[in-house]
Amino acid sequence: MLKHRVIPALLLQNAGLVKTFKFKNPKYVGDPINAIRIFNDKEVDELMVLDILASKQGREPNYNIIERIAGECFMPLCYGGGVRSVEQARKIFSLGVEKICLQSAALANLQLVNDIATRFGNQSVVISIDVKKDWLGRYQLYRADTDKLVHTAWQGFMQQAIAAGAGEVLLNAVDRDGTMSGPDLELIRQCNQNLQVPLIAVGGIGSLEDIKLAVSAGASAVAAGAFFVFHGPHRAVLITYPRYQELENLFDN
Amino acid sequence: MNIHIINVGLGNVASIQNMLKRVGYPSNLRVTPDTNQIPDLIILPGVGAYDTGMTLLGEYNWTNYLKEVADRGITKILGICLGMQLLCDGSDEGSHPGLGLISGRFQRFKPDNSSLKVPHMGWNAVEFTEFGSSLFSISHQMPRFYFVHSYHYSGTNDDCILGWCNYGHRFGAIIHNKTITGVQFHPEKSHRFGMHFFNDYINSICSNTG
Repeated sequence: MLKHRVIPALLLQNAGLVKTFKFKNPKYVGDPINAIRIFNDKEVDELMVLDILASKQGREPNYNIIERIAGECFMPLCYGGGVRSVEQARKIFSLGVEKICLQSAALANLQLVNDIATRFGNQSVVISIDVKKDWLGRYQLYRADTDKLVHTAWQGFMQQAIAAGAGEVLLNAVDRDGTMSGPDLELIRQCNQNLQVPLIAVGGIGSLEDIKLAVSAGASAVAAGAFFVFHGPHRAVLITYPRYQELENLFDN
Repeated sequence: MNIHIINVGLGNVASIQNMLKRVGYPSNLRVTPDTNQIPDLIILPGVGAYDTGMTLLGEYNWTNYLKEVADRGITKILGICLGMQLLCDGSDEGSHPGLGLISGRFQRFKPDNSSLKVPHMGWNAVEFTEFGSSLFSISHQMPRFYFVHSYHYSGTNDDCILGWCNYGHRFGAIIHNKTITGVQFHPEKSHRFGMHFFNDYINSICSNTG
């Protein structure tokens, strides 16, 4: 049967890898190519690379680094950050990337989701939904490029993006990002209601047990950043990934 | 070993070229067919919609070329993902006929169980048939491959199936007809198993000139 994917989510800032805490304070964790080689050797299920500055700065994706990353990836690769046109998407796919993750451009206009999905298939478009709790504890859609809540119902926007052609949802619990304090299971449950496409849950993963919890709450796949790049209470940088057998045992039990 | 990868904007040609390089085979990306020198192997990659795929193959003069190459029966053709689907008769996804080199059509997954999402996306096991196992030594390693697709093979003749996958129900994941082979998964994105797959494929199917 299909196995639940466990996906390292790596954040790119300029040419370095960083890891954030609740989307703030990016900490440098190393050279992306080196990290990707390690993940490649560890035979990870899939890899996600998100450029956290491209949309903020309104600049083009860094094709050079995407190409170098893709050249090291013998597993599926998803890229996100700064993609605003079909032509940019075409170029990224041609470098050896399988999926493009959209947020800013999709919030501006879902036509891009539609255009990329029509040309390259629904499976190639991931809609990135960042959700943060407001002061009343309600889940609100959040945009990473402006660091602001958006007053659009997050589930409504997600369904519109799927209707426009997004083949997968990346659901990020902003308040859990980098905390390794466990996934937001209620958010995952809400997201998975009436969801027809695969759901990748990210945010808060700090253990293998957390991965299992996220899957039990309805995630098709689980992504994590800090869990795969930090080690120990002082968050020393150490790239790890569970052995296949460990993951198999985790989901079998 | 002269390998051409069809490069008409149908997806991940760089990934396939990378993987072939990794297992020791240089390859050429071709926008249009090379009519001077017919290669040993043509790889038809594919990501995207069925009709777009057939239209692009037609636009760049591949449709008739591939049919002629298949008729001659010397050059091997490997279709990957949408490429596999284009090798067959057609798909419910589109209205264009396929290349018709392997019999069968493609149908959309309709899982009864709502926990099964469409597309079928992720790593899944492939169970090789007896004939499949004789061609692919990797069959003894409990291989898993990366799949991303919403439509699955549906043929009336199980003889052309070399490997099965299961997602809600069983479907052909590797299909074969003489010199033509199609795989629904992405061997170029299936790390160790993909490397073994290409090695096995080139060593058994491509070295067999019959």
